[in-house]
Amino acid sequence: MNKTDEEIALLVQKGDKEAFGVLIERYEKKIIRYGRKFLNNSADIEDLVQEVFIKTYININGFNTSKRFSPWIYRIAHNEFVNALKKKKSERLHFIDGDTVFPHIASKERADKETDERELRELLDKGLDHLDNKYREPLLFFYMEGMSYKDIADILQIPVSTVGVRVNRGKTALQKIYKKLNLSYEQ
Amino acid sequence: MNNENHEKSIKNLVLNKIKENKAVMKPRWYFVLKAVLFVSGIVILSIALFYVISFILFILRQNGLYFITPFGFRGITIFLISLPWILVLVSIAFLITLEILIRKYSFSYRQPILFSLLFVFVTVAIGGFIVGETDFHKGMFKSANDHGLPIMGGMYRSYGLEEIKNICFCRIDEIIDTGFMVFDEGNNKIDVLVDENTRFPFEMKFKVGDSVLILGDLNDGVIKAIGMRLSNEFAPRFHMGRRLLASTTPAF
Repeated sequence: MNKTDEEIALLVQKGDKEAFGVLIERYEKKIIRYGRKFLNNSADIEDLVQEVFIKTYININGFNTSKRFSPWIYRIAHNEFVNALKKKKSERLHFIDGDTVFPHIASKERADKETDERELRELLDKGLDHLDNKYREPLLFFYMEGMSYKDIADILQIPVSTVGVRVNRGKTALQKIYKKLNLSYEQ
Repeated sequence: MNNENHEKSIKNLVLNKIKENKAVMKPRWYFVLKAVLFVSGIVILSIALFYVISFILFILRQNGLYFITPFGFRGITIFLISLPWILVLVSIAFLITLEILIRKYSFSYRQPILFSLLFVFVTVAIGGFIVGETDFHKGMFKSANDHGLPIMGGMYRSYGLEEIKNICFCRIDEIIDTGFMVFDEGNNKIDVLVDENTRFPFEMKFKVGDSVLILGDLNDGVIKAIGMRLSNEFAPRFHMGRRLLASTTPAF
């Protein structure tokens, strides 16, 4: 099926249940990868991902097909994983954060991405687990899922400038982690 | 391979639940209704804020606090101490709730909270100021005094007639060497002492018959004036409002 996610979502809204299978196929791996990184390889990740897709289906009529589907489904996944974390109560969650309160000078989105994206992506897998969720998610979405700051802002519902700040701080934190783990990463 | 099986099973499990109607799509009207209720909440809260802010402005004009900040530190201190803090706290609570509600929308969450909050504050402050400039509260106050306002009447009567100890709305009866002889609203004659520390932030040319606002402590019929300003422009509005209730009080 060569249709866009949004076109398929429209079909599902009109009652085509099978079309939803296509959306699952397209997002399953991505959501599982996101969930694994978010929840530090929790064992019940499959159940949570299943729940994400069920909620996506239940709420699909609330999706505006003139907007992008990807940030919308990731937002559902984000909420589901945050709730799972709350139940575990083992990790600190950030609801109101200084990063989101005050304005920041927007950092360049593309320049960094082109220079160190490939190298960083390979190393991200090793370092992400050691990062705070606050930095882990923006880095994951930006480097591993190739999303824009605006899309990440929509998923996490935080200011666009904050996304830039967290990506940069996350990278700095990663460098420190790499040094500790004796991995090589030169910016 | 194992992963593939996992993923297939997720897809099959979800599709089976859908087919078996264990997962049912919420109808479009549900989301429309939710959005309408949400927007209604924002509108109602905004109107409530316009109302409370304009009511605070009305009170400040009624009791004279609105006009005393140009009298310097003492004026500002009395202003802050005498503010209707319960209403101010209610406004802040409404403002935070409104910010939380609009934070669900991308135009808000894409901005830093500080900007978004500032935008909400400026909007409701302008709205409240505009409502405050109309005769809405004056009309409500009049209805309250005529006992035609059953629910809000008490609030208008208690806040609208509140008098601030250090503020006197008076009329100049005589200009003397040490200051002025004035009549207050109760038609009591008061001696106003003016010295080099008395602040006259605006017009200093006073004449007999002028309405003035005086800030200072009243002791035994004497006010040592901290500040004084003409109130000809705002006094008619002020006195009209107060006289509505105090019909037995002699008019100026």
